[in-house]
Amino acid sequence: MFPNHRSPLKEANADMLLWSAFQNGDRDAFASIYQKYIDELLSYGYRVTSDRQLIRDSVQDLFLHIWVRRGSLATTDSIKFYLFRSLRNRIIRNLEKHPERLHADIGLVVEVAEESNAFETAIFGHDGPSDSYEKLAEAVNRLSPRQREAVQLRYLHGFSLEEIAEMMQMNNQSVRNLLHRAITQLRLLFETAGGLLVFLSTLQNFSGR
Amino acid sequence: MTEKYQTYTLADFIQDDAFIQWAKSPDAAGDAFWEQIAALYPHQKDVITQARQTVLNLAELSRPAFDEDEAGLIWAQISGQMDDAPVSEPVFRLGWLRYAAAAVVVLLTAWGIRHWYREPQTLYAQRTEQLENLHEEINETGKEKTVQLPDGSRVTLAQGSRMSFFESMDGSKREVYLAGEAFFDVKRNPSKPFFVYAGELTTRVLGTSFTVRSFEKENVASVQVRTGSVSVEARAPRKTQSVVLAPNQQVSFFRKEERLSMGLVKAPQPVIAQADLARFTFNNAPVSTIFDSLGKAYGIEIVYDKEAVAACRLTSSVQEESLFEILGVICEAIEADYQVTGAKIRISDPHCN
Repeated sequence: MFPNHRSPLKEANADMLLWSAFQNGDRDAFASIYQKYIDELLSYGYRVTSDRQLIRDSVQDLFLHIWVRRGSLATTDSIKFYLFRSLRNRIIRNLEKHPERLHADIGLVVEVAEESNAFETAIFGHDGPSDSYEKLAEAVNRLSPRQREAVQLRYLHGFSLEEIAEMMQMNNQSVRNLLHRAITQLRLLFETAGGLLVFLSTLQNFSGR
Repeated sequence: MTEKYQTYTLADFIQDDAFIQWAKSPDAAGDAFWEQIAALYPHQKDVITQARQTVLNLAELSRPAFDEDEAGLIWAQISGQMDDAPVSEPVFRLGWLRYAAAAVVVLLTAWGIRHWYREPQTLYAQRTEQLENLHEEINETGKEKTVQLPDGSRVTLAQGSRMSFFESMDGSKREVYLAGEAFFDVKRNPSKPFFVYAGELTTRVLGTSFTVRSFEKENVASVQVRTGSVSVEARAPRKTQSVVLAPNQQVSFFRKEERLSMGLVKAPQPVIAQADLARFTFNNAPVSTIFDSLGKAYGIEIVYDKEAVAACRLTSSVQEESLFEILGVICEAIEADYQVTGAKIRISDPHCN
């Protein structure tokens, strides 16, 4: 699992210290920032585009940019949010420079899939996979690209609705709706699958304490 | 305050901020709170357990697969280029960079002085003393010296430099040994590649012009390309690295660190005829067009944010200014900075009305 990133005050303070050390040219602090966030940033990059080289270039540009510009960057109490937003902007900018790559990518695709019902019939039809976790996996894959991006930002990376809205350049209510529709689409699965969804054996059972 | 949880469905729980936060990063306060809810509304106990698991499942299921090695590979690229920016050429309005560059110069000088006092036998001496029929040129004239090679290539040897080559260059390759600095204008001959051995650097070309600088007393050796393409290999005790350079690019080899770093030459020359460049006239043109044309004229990638420069237009023409002078003028006009990063030039976001 990724480390806790939103345990609010402590994390914000740690981030602020790390960030100001980095701004003063501390290479170790810079390396720590990279280490701390790179896995999550790459996961997110792969959600925004499937072009591996483009992700690689964008991450590299982003970190070199903040290193060179460290003196003139604003202070931040959420490095993670800053990095995610910057990476997304960079990837999208780079995608725009290579329009031929766009079709396969999702960042800019208009939400059409969400309005269609093809999804539900596909999931609850006759031939779906039998295992409920796999069913859920397949259902998540069938969400529209923007829904999946929002779901990932919310549940994997743990961003707030406001942060997601700013990153995806939507207003709060639209993000709320986007996520609500995604959950509604998935809901039947959680509820019918019941306890089978509990698959991580290492997790402590809440009711057992 | 907590009544709403009495009627929450699983879907409601997994959209609740506090709930998501606890599910992802449980802490004592969160445990206490949700246990209290479960005690108040016993019918919700299983729902809470399931909802918590669902949050974790969604996190796991929304994570795209990616290559675990990627992070290390990217970091290698980043750390290899971190020093380029500070030591590279003009950076306007960034006071600290100038100090950083000055500090680097001081450090390199200090290194050079230290190196001077324990000079081992140079690579040049090791290589050439075994070979017979070598012709050596030493330039102690105080100015540049031009040497004609047997194959018709011309070498301009800098002051304080020496080079050796075979009197007949009739083998399968043309080879020159260099200690110091020289500009090579190599006669094209694809069947006989031309090699320059200078310290750790081996430069291989077919026909082109370039400068090699490798004084063994200095920590930094470099190859700068004027025309054509050049491949350079740096062979050092711990590792061997290589790059291919295009016109106006240079590579620096840091001996102590055994690091190769790409950059641009101090004074890039156009890859098109100077006369064609002088015909460049921009009349209220979008600066993106100007940047693209300049990039083409010099064979250098100029990177800028398309959207950010969209509002910028300029009228300008090119006379005899250098590339960096031209960029300085343009950036002054649109209130941006330019910066050399690696072998690219980056333009910061401008302020145009």
